[in-house]
Amino acid sequence: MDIEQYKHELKNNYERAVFLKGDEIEARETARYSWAAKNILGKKVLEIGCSSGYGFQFLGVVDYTGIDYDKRIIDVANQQDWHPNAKFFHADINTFELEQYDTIIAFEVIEHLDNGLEIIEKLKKHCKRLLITVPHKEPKGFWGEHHKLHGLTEYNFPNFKFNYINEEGRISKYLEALSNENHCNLLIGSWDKKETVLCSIATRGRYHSTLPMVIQAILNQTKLPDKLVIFDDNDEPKDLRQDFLYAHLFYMLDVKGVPWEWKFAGKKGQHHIHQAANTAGYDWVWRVDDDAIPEPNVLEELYTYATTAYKSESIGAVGGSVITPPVPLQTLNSTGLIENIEKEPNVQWGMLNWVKQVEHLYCSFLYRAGINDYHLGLSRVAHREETLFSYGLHLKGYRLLVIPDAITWHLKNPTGGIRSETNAALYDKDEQIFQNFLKYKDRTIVVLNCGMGDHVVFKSIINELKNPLIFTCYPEIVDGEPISKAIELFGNIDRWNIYQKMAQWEWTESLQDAFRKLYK
Amino acid sequence: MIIISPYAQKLRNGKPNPKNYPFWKQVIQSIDEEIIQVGVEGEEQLVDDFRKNLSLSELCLLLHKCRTWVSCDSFFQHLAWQQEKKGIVLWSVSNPAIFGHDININLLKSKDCLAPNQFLWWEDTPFDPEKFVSPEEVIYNIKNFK
Repeated sequence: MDIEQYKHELKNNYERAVFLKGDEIEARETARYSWAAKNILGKKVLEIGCSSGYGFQFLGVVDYTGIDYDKRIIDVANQQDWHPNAKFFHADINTFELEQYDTIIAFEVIEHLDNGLEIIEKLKKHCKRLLITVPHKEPKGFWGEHHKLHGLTEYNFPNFKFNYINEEGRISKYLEALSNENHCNLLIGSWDKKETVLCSIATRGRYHSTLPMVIQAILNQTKLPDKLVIFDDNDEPKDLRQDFLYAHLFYMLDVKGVPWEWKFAGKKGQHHIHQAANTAGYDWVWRVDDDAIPEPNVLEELYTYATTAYKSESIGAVGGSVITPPVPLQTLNSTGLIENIEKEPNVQWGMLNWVKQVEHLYCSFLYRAGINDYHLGLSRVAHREETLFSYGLHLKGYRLLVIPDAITWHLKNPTGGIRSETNAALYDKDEQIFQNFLKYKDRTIVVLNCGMGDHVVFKSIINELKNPLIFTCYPEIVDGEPISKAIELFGNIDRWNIYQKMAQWEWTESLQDAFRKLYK
Repeated sequence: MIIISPYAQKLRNGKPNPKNYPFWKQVIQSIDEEIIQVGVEGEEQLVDDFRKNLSLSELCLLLHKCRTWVSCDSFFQHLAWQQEKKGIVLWSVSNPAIFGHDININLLKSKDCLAPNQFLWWEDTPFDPEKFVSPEEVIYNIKNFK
């Protein structure tokens, strides 16, 4: 068949853009895929209505899946041999089994579907970012019978951010007038999954000192959290709903639309409290101490950096300055490296002029939930818990940032406090665990407190791990130190319990991949 | 020669392990081929040749000599996978998508049989013979195994 005839037929009376490898791509196609390349979030990308797959070449090397309802065009896409990372499937979006993607692209697809707007809602459940183009206010019949939805405008797509693209491929914030040269504009827009923030306060012995100040400061935030939870770890917890001060604070939370919950904790240590917040199903957790008073812009600043900074998907936590009055320390020269923790003031103890990447954070910060565990093996005083927790995020490859202009005043209330435990032996034990982590910071610590078969499966990934230090139940299968040694060095070893982890992750993939997730 | 590894680890509460296949005798009666049973002391003997408490190297050696093997979800199926020896696994309440290996023939009666929580101790899951594939299906797969 003549290739031009073939392409013409595939174009389906100009209803499908078809370009083969090496073809010159039309301006509007180039413009929108170049825009997509700049706006892609993450690496895993699905494109609906991918045609011959020509869009892939604009997107850089990503984990790309393209689907199209037309089998012939998928055959063409596969023949192009675009890249090993690009996979193409013949599928109908109504029945295609969607996975979770970082970005889904649907360029001029929605208007072809009777249920296009329902499909948009379905796609939103399967991605962090959705990129679309649709004809803007297209009259019925303007582009023939293939379009099922007409007259689409910004109002059909709530929570999208839109620009316009004219027939020459110019993208603008402003709608261009229709003319003989510009018959129809497209809407080109993106929708981002709203990331939720839980604000978590662990408190003990501060009902009528600094805790109400902290709650008031949360209420005054320019960005309010999606929920506030207060973990009450007092020896004699009280119902404060009738208390004059708290009754008004709770009233203001209700009026401002901040769901709140007062939970009585189990006096097992604040790491247990933080783990409850960490696994509560929110995207981010803002941990605030019960004597740390954030200025009104703090959550907004932390959240903005966490979600919109360059390569934000790799950000694990963001903290601001945590200043103990009266005078901030000079910390501009602090490195924030874990190995210098005893040698320099913490970066967060001073005012910064610029963003600094560090290896550990202190006191109050916003962190990506569910990535790392607070099962740190520590005693109930949980000495060093925030350092170990945040450093764990760093070890998992996430960036930790300290940012300027986000100040929390740490009053260091001398009475009460979540660490009001005075047993020095517990502090010493926690410090020893911390020092052991530092000692082995360049090793991947592996604790195989599981069955024989699990050991066999773990062994298959051992070569993928960086410098592993292994503790094992079955040395005849995986060589290593005894489990008792791991307990001696690191206290509670539940953080490495692969079954607890899989339960926590609601795991549905292979055991082998679960080990990879835990240790890589 | 076929290896069978009929039993998963004994439960601490003494109850039958919900992963243990209940129809071994019917399967064995219909197989006209040498069968070696592997396992540990205390397990019920199903064939004449029952080799107990073998070392890992002895098990591996046997695996390499057999035509195929049949096992419930236990250590044995992981070891065989490590040795790249394809076999047949008889599933019930545990999920082959998590604990199985693609190289094997994984016989699961239905996804509806899977325990809702895959990560608890199996002591909490009752034994139910209705959750396993029929002996006929196992026999068919053994006879047609390639």
